[in-house]
Amino acid sequence: MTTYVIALTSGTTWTVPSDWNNANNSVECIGGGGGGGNGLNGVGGGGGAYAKTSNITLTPGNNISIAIGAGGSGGVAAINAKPGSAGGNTTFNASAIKAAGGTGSGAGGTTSNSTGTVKNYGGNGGAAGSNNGGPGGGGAAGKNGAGANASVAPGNTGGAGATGDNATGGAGGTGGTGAGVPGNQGNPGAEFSTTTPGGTVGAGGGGGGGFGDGGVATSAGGAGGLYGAGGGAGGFASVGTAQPAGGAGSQGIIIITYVSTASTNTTNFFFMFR
Amino acid sequence: MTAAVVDLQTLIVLNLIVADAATDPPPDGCELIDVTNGPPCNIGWVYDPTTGTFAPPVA
Repeated sequence: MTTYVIALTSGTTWTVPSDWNNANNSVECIGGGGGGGNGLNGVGGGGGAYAKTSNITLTPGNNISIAIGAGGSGGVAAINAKPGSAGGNTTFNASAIKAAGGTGSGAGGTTSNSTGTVKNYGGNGGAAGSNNGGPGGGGAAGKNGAGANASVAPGNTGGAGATGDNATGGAGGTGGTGAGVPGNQGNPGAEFSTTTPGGTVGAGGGGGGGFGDGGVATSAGGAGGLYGAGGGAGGFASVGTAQPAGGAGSQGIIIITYVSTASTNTTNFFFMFR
Repeated sequence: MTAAVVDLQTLIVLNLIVADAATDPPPDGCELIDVTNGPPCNIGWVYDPTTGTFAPPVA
């Protein structure tokens, strides 16, 4: 019995394979992560939510509509406050299965905005707080649970991004530690071993926040790790000067797992002619 | 490559997805607009086909 694990990371359609098994499959979605805000009271981007449904009935050869949620943009560098933008929703078969994207205002993707028989929350981005460092991005949700929430920055150093998938996904990036040293990108998740295209994928960790001293020594937030994590916010510069940019959220993903019916047919063929 | 999914009737951005606006088929009743390198765009914003730009919804 051959099990296929297919990762979809772009496109708008997917063709059901000829050996699709209605009785043994699952489709899992992670929404796109939100972008972090720039340094003026910016918050970390929220992580994407997770949704899963098993044993869905599909017709081989049919084209199924899909959407891979894009990661939200980080708030641009500017004197004024610029929040990040929301991550897109990841959907399969119209919205039969839907994982909500994280927001650019800190909140992770919610289960109430998602559709599936199993749903988990995306982690929240860190709040701005009273420290100068930018907060980190929220972790993406995954098959093992919610994404972790990021905390307020500890001081001038940027806050760490949060881990994805109930601590089994990618670790968050560390915060920026000095002027011009941006928060680190979150780490990619690796909970799934895929047959197509091969390799590992999973729920990413949030990007680290940027450094800020409340003056002119600042840095940008880091991007979320693949897949579905929020970006870190930029560090705080003095009011009236350009605030560093927030990090971008990372895109979502669809993971399709099924046991091929072809192996069953092969077995029957063997016994027929034995 | 990032594309905005724009409802053809309302011109509202329904989603932001990873897709090639030039080759991937859009969802029914929608159009894909390439926003990989801008202009600024967000879910819920309104597309102006004359200028090719997006604007936040009027509160």
